[in-house]
Amino acid sequence: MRSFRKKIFTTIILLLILITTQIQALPSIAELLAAIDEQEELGSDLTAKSIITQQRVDQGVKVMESIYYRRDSDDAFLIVMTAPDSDKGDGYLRVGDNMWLYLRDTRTFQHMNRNERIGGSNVSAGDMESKKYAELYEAALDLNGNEIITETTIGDAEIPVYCFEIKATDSDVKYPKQVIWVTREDHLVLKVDSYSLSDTLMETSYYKNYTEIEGRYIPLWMMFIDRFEDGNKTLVELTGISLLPIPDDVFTKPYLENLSR
Amino acid sequence: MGMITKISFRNLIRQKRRNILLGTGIALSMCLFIVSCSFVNGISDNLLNNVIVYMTGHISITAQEKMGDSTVDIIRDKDKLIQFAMENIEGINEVWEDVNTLARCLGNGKATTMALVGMWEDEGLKDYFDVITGNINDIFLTDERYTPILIYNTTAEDLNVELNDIIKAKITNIYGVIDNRNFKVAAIAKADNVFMSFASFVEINALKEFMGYKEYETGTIDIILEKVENPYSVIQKADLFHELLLPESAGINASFSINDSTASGNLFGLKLNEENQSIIMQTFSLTPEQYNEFSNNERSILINEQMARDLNINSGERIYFEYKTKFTEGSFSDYLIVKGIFTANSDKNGLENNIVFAHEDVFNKHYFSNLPEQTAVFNIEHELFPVLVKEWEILERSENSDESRIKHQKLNRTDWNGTILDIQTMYEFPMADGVLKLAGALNIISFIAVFILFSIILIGVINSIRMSIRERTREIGTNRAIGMLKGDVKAVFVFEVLFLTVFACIAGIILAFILMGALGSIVFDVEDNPISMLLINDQIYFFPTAFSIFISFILILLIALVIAYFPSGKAAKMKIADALRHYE
Repeated sequence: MRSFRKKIFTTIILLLILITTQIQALPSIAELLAAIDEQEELGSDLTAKSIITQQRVDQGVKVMESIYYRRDSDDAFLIVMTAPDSDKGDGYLRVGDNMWLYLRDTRTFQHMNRNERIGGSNVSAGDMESKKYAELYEAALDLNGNEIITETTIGDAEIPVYCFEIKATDSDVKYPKQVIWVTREDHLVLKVDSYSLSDTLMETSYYKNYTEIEGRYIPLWMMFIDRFEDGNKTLVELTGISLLPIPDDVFTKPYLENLSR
Repeated sequence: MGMITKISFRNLIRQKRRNILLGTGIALSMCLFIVSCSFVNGISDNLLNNVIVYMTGHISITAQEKMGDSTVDIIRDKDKLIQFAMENIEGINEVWEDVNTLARCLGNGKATTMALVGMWEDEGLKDYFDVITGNINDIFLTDERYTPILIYNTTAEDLNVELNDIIKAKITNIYGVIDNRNFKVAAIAKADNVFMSFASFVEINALKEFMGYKEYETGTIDIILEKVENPYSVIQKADLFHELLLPESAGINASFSINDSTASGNLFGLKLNEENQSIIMQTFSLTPEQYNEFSNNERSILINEQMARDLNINSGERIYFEYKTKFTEGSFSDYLIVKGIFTANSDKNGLENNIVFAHEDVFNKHYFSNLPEQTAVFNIEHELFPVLVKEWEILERSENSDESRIKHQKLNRTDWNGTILDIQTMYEFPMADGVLKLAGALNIISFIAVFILFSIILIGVINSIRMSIRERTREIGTNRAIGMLKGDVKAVFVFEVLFLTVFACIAGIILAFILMGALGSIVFDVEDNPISMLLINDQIYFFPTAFSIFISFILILLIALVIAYFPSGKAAKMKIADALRHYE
């Protein structure tokens, strides 16, 4: 009898130790957001070719190709469309607080505001600005005041991830609530569910084929699935990535004009 | 003169066949000119006064608010501006809020993009819709689960929905946040034209909430004037209103506290830029380092000496301020950091002892989002007034859509914060501007066409006069021989043409009205055709104006008189003897 009680007591102690260990193993959401921000900040310039395949229920499939230049230091970027022929030569340039659309046919620059869409896609000019999760979001709490975070796996490969929920602290965000899946080891974002103000799932984003370049992980494959209108999705694939410095004259209107020719 | 008139009139009747043919030609020219002008006037009148005015109003007030990188189209205190408009603009028919947004909508297996337009309960507005099914009054009922919506029949087809079906809508609200809502079809109306069918209607407060507006806020204020025929009168009123909309300084009457000490005062915001730096440094006796320290911290304030003593506060310390808000219950509070203490001397620097100045960033952030119940006003004559944050800044008036577009592009390139108002007439919106330009172009084309036609007819008139002179050469000689003066001879022919033209023009005007009546009664089946927006109740709308008829009449008369003058003069100059000897 005594030995049985001892066994129960030991088991309970071991279980408590195990549970405490598991609880302590979960990072805080703030740490994860900081890790994601650090991961996404390149600290250098980026050049890439992108292929965007847009599928819309009422419009069919459209494939757009472009060259993308980005300079993190001042949040500048330049995009030149290389396909399809109807959009070839058109471009977007952002320097400082100004963003322009260049139309090859008319050879004119039009000033864009943050809410205007790029290339007929769901991406707006404001979306192209680099933003830090840690500045815009905070951990969502459950009824007990605990952060909503769990350990789980994702995909057929059962990749171990943290799944956590965040809510906006700043009104300058598109989605006031997001649920994010990040790898436990490298804190790479694999999936994001984005919710509307009315708490309806509006978009699911998938990120995979991360490639390490100079210590930075960049996803080469991204899919954005519209959860509001079934059947709409956008696939973004990156190739030819380079982190070499980009000359300053690239982020200028004359360069964009020349490039579009 | 009476004799001349009699002779001219008699001569007119003498050549019946020739004059009837000529008169018919002139009448047709007049008729075509009036019909084409009335058609063009009808298009522009219909589009401007029946379509575009409901989209933009005759005069509209819009506001943009910018804090940091975000720009929001919002008027925070709509009643204040509406009241100001009612008091200062003559001939207002209605003033309403214009709240609308684009939404991606899902019906039963189909999707479309449409404009959601806010509608208020108004009997006149209800009569505007030709409801096929459902009840328009149901739009204004509240429903916890679904918001009622009125759609057009074409939209119902596009979405494959019927009465009481649910439409899911997704929008980006005014703050750039994605939101969605479920709407229930409460009524379906018949679209008069394809242009109108793009819109669907929701009770305005429900739409405002969906878009992120509070009850006291709005997007645009549209002012509808009594029926306007002349764009210039609208522009004049807008210009006058623009001049009257002088902003005061944005000020908050607040209480300031630290620990247990409290003092009340007036808080104003300082606009910090290169241009204002020297005035600020001079007024508050700041060194460049002190100015930089103030401008680098968005929570900075400059507090006057008296208040600093009363609150026993020093530079670098935190001070709390609180004030009652105008539209929400309770009060708003936050903290600021004292970055400087200045001497207020109403004789020397014109500043009172209860004044506090804050960094524009923290001031803008709080003032516009939480308008104070008690405002403070700064002396407009004071040298510091230009550097203070105002209730609003106002853009210069523009003359057309191109100027308006350039004006806004320029604004986008400047670094500004706060609220900017713009007063526009409907003629500065691309659509109305385009309609006016189209109307002008069509008027020119129709004038040229009719002028060419009339010129051809005038050849006949010239020929007729010449033949008449030739045939009556001996008669002219006889009249001259018995004492008729050269001027009288000329006058006979000129009056003859004058009478012909006048009678023909009158006939042409009557013919034009008959033709317009006939053409206007034809009903065209143009459903789903863009042409339908040019029609009213599927019929052509002619809008003749007394002015255009009068101008047409005078123009044709003048041309005819000029044409008649020269051959008449030649006839008058004939030698009497030669005329008497003339043999046909």
